[in-house]
Amino acid sequence: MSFISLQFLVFFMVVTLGYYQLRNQRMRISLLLAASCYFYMAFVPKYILILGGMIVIDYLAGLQIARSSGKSRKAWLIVSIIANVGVLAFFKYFNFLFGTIEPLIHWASPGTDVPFLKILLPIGLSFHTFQAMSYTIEVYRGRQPAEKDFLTYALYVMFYPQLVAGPIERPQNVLPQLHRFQEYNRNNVREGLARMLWGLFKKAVIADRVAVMVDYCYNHASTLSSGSLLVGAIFYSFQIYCDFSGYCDIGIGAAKVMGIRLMENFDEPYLSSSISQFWARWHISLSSWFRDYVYIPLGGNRLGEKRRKLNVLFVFLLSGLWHGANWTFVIWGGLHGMLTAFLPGKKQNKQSNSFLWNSLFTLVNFGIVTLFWVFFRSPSIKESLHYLSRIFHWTGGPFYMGLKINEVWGSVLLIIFMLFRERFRKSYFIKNGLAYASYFVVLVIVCYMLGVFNENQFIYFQF
Amino acid sequence: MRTNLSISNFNDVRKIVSVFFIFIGLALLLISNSDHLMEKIIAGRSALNNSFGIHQFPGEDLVSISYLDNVKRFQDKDEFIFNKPVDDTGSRNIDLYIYGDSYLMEIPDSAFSSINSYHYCRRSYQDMNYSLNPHKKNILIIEIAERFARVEFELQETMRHFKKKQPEVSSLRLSGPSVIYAKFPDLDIFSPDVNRNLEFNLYGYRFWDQVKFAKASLTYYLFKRAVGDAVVSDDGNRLFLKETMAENDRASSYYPFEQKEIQKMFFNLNATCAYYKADGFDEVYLSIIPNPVTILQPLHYNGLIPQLQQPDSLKCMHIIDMYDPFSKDPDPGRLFKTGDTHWSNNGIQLWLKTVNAELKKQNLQAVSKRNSSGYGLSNLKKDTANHQ
Repeated sequence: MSFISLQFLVFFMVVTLGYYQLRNQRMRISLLLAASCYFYMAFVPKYILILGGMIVIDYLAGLQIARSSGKSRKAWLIVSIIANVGVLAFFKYFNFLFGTIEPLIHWASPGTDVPFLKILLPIGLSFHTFQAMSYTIEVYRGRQPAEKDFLTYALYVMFYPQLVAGPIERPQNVLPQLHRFQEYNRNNVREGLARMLWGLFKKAVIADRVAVMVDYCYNHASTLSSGSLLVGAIFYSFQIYCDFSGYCDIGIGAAKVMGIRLMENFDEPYLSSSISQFWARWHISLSSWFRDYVYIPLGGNRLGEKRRKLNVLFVFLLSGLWHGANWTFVIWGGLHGMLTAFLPGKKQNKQSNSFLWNSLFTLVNFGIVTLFWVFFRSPSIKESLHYLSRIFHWTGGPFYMGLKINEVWGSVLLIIFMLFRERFRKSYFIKNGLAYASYFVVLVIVCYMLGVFNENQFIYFQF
Repeated sequence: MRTNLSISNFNDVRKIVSVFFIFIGLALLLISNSDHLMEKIIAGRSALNNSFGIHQFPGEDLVSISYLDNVKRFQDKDEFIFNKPVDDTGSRNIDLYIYGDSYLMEIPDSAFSSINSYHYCRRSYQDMNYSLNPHKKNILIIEIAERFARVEFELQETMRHFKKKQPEVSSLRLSGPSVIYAKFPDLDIFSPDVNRNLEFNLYGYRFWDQVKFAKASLTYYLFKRAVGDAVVSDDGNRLFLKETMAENDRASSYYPFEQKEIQKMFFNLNATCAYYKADGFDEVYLSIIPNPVTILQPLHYNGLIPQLQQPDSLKCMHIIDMYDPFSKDPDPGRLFKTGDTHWSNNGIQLWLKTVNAELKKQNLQAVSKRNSSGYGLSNLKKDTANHQ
């Protein structure tokens, strides 16, 4: 079920009210687990079986890792990792693999039918497999005791506010909170609801509004002016940010209403002045996952500069592949990896820290990130290159060719408003009752009047 | 003591309110998830003529669904005018059957040439059990709007809803598929329309209309766009149904298809045609009405109709082609209504002209056949043989 749907609105109301009616934590866990199953099954019901199977395997693996020692301990970790990566590989990369080697198969054996799976990728698979793996790895490393209660562990993986698109949580953060009985706290509820509404604004008012123009630009890349295509590319940067961070705001807000604090996933990423800084502020839960479970075990920066660069490049390629089974994502990851690995860090001196220099670096960095997003958005490498070549092969013509000028400027104003609000007002808590009510009413009206409600899924659901 | 009492009362009230809203929420989810209940609710609410009724802008469905009642641009007064065909004299040897959709539902019998009787069955809304007159030339036209074609012809659905009136024993053959369906109930426990149903149950009342008009007008005047399932055309002069231009919808004129899919549709269409011919129809026609975007914004058209209308692949069916004359019309905009999914009077007249020319031709053939070999008798024999 999408967060931007009436079904979710009613569901959220029922679950939250029910949650606070229960005075027993065990019952609350059962309620949240049942609600999370319902939430997940609203997409494709049968995929709950895959998720359920994975939960059983990882739960047992966690217990066995905690109980055993030596090689047996490692063997259980490997079982868990193989099960998770195996499911992910099967559903997400099977067709990609066979699509890639198809020409080779046809060359070796003409007329052979290449097997392709006709299945839908279970929604949010990459997210919950990574979250499950972080649990077994942390238990293996001895940083997290194995969870004995099956329902609590299942809820850790399935907790609906972060089930399908993160943040990819760590057991140390969530499990203790699931064990604690959360008393009703008005401030939590108010803060959570305010944040959810802000997420709705970002998704419905900005992301889905600019999405209409972005789609038009990408569908008419051959005929639009370079200026229009540049506008489309810049708007996509904000579409994906508002879409994904809007989703996270709703998820984090929904958890906050129930007194559960989830980790932050974004920290004004477009104000970064370098690619490495961008990755410390964009999809933080994924970046830190790769850092903790891939980059550092590979040696990190401890084995010399050359090895560090290789490790960084490898992690970014993997991150690209994680996003989608398409070479466009691999190239997107690779480009980020190359800049992170090979560009020298910004010098820390008085001149480079000045406002002017910082602004210049930020602007250049935003431009680079925007151009890289073209690979992320396009369905194929050919189309990405076509889009980029059309931008750089300056054709003249108005920047709004094919677009509706009021919509372009309206969206720019909304984006500026969003950036200012996130820069200068980070907290979602409003103490004054009247101010809070005004904020709520105004934002509801703005969301309703200016929002686009066309059942658009969140971009990151597909991963 | 008094304070404790009032706190306790306050908590009780809060609890009662919470339970009330939990109950309301669960009921809403359950009702909106049930297609059966929703059918009843929609039928009941449609009959209401007060604030709890359903919004309906007369004559123009896209204006209605996008709540653009206050925007005059998309409202036209175009109405169908049906005249008796000129020179429609002489014998009437044709019994015309149409299995079609809303595009044809308003056509009266009198608009057709050379017909003895006319029978119309509306797809998805009704079933028909026909009984053919062996002394007449029985002609079937399977008409379909382009946006439904891919889903309809993926299966051999037509035969399940439009079939010969038969005695109980022989009808078992046709009820076969239903028995199989009954054994394998649909595993999906959620209605795909749950959000639409919730919107209907929560906001689908006339007393909300002014708010919806305000949003629709604001969106239109600010961004030149429509809300909901309608899209403003590139030239800004008309509305299109969103699903007919979506990137990932099989109703869309822009959603590509594979040859495999086309081959499957050919197979099903040929099987459908063979079925009706074996059942006694003398001729079977296929008529696909193009989506308005297919004709008016053809830049990214997937080419479905020209692909489907290949005479080499559709061996037993005749085609009533609307794609070619529509796309070659010097002013194609005149063929469709500006605020509606359907065609205008000009569009339907073009279709009638083509159909009537065919009917006349078939009528003449029937006359000459009867004169030369006794048409009715041979058909009667064929019909009897089919039922033995």
